[in-house]
Amino acid sequence: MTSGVPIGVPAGAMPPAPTRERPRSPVQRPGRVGEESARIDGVPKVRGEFEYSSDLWMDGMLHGATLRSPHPHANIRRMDTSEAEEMAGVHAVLTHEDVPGRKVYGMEIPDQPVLAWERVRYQGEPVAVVAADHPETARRALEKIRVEYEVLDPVTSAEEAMREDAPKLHLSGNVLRRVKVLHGQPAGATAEVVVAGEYEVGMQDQAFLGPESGLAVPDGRGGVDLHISTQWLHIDRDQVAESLGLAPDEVRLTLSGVGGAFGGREDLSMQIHSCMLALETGRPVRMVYNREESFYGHVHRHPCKMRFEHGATRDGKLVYVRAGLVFDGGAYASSSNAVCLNAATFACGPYDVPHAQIESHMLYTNNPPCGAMRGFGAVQACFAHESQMDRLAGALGMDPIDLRLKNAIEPGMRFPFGQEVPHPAPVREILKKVKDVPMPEEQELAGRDPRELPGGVSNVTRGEGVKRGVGYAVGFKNIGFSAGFDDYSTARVTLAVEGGEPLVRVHTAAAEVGQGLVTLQAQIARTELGVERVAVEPADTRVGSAGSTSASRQSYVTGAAVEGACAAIREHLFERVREELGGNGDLSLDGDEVLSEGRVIVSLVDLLGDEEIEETLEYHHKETHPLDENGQGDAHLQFAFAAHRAVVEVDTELGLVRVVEIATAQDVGKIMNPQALEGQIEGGIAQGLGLALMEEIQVKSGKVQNASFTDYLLPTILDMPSVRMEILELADPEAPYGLKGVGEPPTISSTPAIVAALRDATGQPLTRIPVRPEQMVGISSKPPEEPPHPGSAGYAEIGRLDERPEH
Amino acid sequence: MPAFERAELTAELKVLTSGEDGLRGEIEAAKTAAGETGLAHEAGPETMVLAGGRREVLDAATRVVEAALDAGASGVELKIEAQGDAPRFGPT
Amino acid sequence: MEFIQPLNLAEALEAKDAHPEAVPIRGGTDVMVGLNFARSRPAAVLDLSRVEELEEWGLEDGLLRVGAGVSYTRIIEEIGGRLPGLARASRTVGSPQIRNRGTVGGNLGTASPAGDGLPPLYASDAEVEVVSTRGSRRIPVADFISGPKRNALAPQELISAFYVAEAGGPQQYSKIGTRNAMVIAVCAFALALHPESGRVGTCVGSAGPTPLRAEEAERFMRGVLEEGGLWESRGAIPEAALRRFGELVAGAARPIDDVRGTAEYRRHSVGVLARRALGWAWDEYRGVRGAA
Repeated sequence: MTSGVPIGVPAGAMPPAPTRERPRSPVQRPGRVGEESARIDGVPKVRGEFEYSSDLWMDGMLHGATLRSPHPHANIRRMDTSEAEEMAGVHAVLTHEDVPGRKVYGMEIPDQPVLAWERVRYQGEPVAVVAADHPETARRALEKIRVEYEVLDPVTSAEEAMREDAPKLHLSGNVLRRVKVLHGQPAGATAEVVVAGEYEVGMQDQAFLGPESGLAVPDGRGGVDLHISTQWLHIDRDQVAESLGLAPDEVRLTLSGVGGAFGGREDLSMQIHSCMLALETGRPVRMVYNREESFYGHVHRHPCKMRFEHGATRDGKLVYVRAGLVFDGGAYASSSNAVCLNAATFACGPYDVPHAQIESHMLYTNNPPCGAMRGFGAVQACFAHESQMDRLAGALGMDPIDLRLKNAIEPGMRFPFGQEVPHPAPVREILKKVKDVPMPEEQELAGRDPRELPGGVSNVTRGEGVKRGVGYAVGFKNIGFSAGFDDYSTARVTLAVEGGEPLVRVHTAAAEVGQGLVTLQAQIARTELGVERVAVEPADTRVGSAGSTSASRQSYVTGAAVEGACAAIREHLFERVREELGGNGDLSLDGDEVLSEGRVIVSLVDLLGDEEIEETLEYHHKETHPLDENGQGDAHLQFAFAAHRAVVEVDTELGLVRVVEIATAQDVGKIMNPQALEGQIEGGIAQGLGLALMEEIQVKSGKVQNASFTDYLLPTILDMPSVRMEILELADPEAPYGLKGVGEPPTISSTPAIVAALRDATGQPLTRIPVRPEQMVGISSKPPEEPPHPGSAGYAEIGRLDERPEH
Repeated sequence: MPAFERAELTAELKVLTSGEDGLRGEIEAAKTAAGETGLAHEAGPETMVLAGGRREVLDAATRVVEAALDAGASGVELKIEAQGDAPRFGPT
Repeated sequence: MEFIQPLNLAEALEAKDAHPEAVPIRGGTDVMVGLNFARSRPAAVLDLSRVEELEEWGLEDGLLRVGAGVSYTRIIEEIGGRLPGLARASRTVGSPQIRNRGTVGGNLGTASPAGDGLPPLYASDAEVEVVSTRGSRRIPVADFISGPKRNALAPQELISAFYVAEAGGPQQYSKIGTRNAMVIAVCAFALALHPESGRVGTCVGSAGPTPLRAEEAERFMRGVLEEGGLWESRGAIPEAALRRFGELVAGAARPIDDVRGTAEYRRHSVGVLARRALGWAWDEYRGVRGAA
């Protein structure tokens, strides 16, 4: 390794191509699989000492900034960068002409310009990038770039995009994907009881706290090292290399501290831009989006409109489901294809449905691009199917839980998309469990601490208008990548004596985004090799791909890769023991020693000596298959189920809410780390609560109205109730340790459970989420049509992108 | 092509113009033809990509090349990439 | 950008006289947002955080004089007993960190209709003291806030304090937000009972271009209380009168539709808040247990 430039130390004689010190990998003493194991990065994060990607620093680095389109739809007539280039302190001003390789990128379909050339398709689309010696200089240089736009009418909804006369946003039209699922004989199906409903989901944001940021360092030989927070290093690497016109091995990525992801970091943001600037200037270039820019810098959860019809027998057995789902994909493809497929396959919910006809459409519009977010298509579908189940229960005069129990899908049945329901699929068990959790006691309203009332510290009620409501929902989701994708992970594990004790080093490219994989990998190594000390190496592209930290897949896929590599080392050790010591009994590893029939026969220190054992293993999960033209196929790897019960109190006169408690039952296969599991479940529920009650990017005429945490509201600790958990450990025989992915299910059915409870309290239909106070008091079912006027604070103080001075 | 692009064949076409300004017509003609095939997306000011099954991409590429030449383009750069495991996914 | 940091009020006033374009900054909870979002790039910033005179409060001629630099946290902790309405409003401002930095002086300077510190000042007829090298003047708060984001401050002047009477009766502040903490008001309502004068002070926040007194509601309720001899008898206010009061307050609002809520909802909810707040305040006046 070349000599590093330490952080914060004056550079002195700067080498021509400085490199960053590789981050250290601290030694952990983790628990075994299943044991409580504290995060190695927990204390540094709480103390503010953890290095996030926005903290990256190198002496001599430049600061990048991005010029973005103020218009959701426009032709670029002319661009003049000369004035910006002449500014003191400005080192580079780059446009599409300077993209050395492929001028577009994208995970599924490379349709998104690295920098726009003649047309912009959403507000905030990058048009030019600047590197300067100070962030403020870079921002001022952006104002000196003259762009002449011919503003076009934006296509602002999926319905509009579908019209014959809609402008074509891409060469082959506005329909991005259509997935149809046909099951049984839906065409002629009739039923004794029929309920129909229309549902709508607003645009949620991942709202990770660490903004898009990274540091690109040129290597002096034409290549570049990028330190970045992302979810999948290798897919970033491949896309960056393509657009830089470099070979993949000339672009090396190292994971930096990730401040949350939730799907929003699967797509590229500043990766190519910072590398272009670094290669152009020969200097390290850091780019850090601010909070507002972050809202324009990543994809969001798809807004969706859904029309459902459920038919059932008089005694509550489902006969058919017909559904049409229309998703607004925004300006570019991102992972919309897969979201469209997921929603189609999960539209009926975890129920036995004899006949189904599902159509899921994904459209291009001039709204912000949408893509991956926790729950990935299952969230929207679950809100609709669970709302429908409640509506059906109402029509039948049945208890909503009984209706669900009666129709719960079981192992051996077939999902509407044709795949056999694998064992375990404990829909009934989790519904019963969540129902049996004792109800929280009804507290006296008078004399409560205001924080325990709707409105909290805002002092709006002392019990007036407050009604309690209870709601249930169940949901499910595929774990891992589906529909034929060769989904794999790579682990390199080494065992050696370091500092007089055995130490396992685990090296993968799997992104730790806060979920706890850094601990889990260590736990697995500890368990498999019986070694007390484990160091998890920084994730980077020196090792093979680990796939994406998404689809709740890393514990499964990277977990299996680490387990497999450890097993290979173990076998290697046992062979040595048999050869050198002649033992042939049942060997095992524990406490840094090799045991035979439970008795210590040699310590690892003695056995290893100076030798280092290294094994690399690539784990590919079981093959999946794409859907055929009728939406039939063994598309998914694993299914995870969760059920939620929400108890709420609503001030029915004001439409303000206190969620009293969430109870959940979830099958996780195996509890790998209790603390991490609780964190995932509580965090996922908080995100589901946010979608139910407050989180929405409001877009009017293609323009974002609330790109700030002042007006994009996230739940605070006072909005989040305590969670009671019932965890099932029904092992999946095909998964490592029997585990199931846990990250997404908490988000999926918590939202409809809360909305069901709100309906119970208010008697309002509440068909759109997030539910606004207006809807709960029956004033309006929709947010205002008119764009807001400045004057009541907030965005008016901050200003909007489209109101900025334009040149 | 990285990522999920599972098309059996991907054709990247770059329209070469005679070098004078105001000859966007050649590119527009190629883009229109590409759009009509239903397989296209833009990949740069003069570049478009066709992705899909082998036969349909080759047919579409021919049509786009013809449209560009008919409109007066001096040439078309064509790069075709095949995806190794695409047959698993059938025609797209 | 010039950065000026006076160490006392005299220096601050001289600096403001020499640099009338300088933007005063104290807690920074508004100004820094503007700077960070590159919304404003003032030529000069006048940092008042070292001017200790602004942090003082005390009684002066029978009125409380509260320095413009007293933080919300200190208002709650030190003056909360004397100004319960303002203290309630202060508790709803942002997070603990924001309350440690933010000041009522900042609310007055920004003059946003959503400023939580403002409605209680209206409901209790507070006056704003502004100073310059040429002297000081006192302006009723409703005149000081001259429009949305506008105030009566002259370029050479600084906000030094506000004057308000100690509460002579119960006070309330309630606000609507779509989450239960750390939220900017969708709308708000402040109420102050003035038993000594028989008046009911009100103010609607965040439902108009400026905070708005609900004068008709005030007159109506003053009449109800007088007519029924309720101040003396401490008898209950008839339910119908409470409702009418709420309607009149709702009628005084001049709300708009925006990202935070619709005009219709604002009007509706401010009426509900007014009715409830008056009920609580009156119960407290009557000595109903648990009403405060």
